[in-house]
Amino acid sequence: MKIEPLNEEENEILQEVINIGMGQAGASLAKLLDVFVNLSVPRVSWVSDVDFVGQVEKLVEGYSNSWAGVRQAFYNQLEGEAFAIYGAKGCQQLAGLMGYADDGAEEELLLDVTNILVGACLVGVAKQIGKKLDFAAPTLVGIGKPIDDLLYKRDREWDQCLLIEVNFCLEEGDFSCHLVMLMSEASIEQLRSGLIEFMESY
Amino acid sequence: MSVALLIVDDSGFSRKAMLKSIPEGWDVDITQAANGEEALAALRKGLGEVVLLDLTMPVLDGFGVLEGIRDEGLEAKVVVVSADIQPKAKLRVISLGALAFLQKPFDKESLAATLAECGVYSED
Repeated sequence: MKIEPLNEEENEILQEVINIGMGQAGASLAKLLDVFVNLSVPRVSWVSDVDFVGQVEKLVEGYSNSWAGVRQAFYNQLEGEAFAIYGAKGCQQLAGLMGYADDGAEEELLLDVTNILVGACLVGVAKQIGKKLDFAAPTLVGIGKPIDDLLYKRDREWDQCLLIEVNFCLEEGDFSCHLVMLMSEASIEQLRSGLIEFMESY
Repeated sequence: MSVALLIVDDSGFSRKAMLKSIPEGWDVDITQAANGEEALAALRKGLGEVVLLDLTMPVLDGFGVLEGIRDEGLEAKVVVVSADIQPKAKLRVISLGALAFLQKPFDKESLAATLAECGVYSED
């Protein structure tokens, strides 16, 4: 049996907690790329793990036909797998910003940026709700692939999937990417209890 | 006389957190706005002598509100409360006329201290 995803109030707190995490991500990205990053409100939605690939495909329809994906596992009180997916345009923009030309450098850049985004988002969330979290190193799943190719390569089936749409607007051009967070049932419960405690601290 | 306090944040939770963090005994009339356009509309009606302003918002962001205040010559003492922690963001809001920058998440004490520093609230 699947547990209930978060209710409206819990989601509202999660949204703000992620927003704060993204502020940290934006600052780290600004430092890495040496630019000013205009933050936008991240869009957060839940999809059930059953056919989550299909649902993610629908949600990102129109962004790109070709994607790069980086996967990063996390464990401890929150456990799951995070995927950062970048449309072809986002990859080009990033490479352009860094002045990278060859493919090897692009790969390295995607890993660096994923580490920052996933790290800041999840560490930001975990820290605010008082939960412990550790990370494995990010690995590249593929570049220039259809989205389902990237998302099927995962460790195991999870229970819930949190999709976060992140847009960073740089003076030199926009850059957007999507974070797909797959989590276990136990982690959702940890997330829920942490969010409730965080709310009650005010 | 009570102070017209305007709380601007797109997150309902964040507005609630700010409401709960307002120093006890501070005599304020509170108005809330969920984006920059709503904030400017409230400011034009004189509902924001003191403003707690988020930066990252849909429709019109906090930078846009500060520009609006400047361009329309509105009177408002603005404290920016934001998760955007880039040093340049802070410089930008101060250059646009904000009195202070408070980083999210914040606590009651730091909000009171910031408001006191800006001279809009006295802790005694």
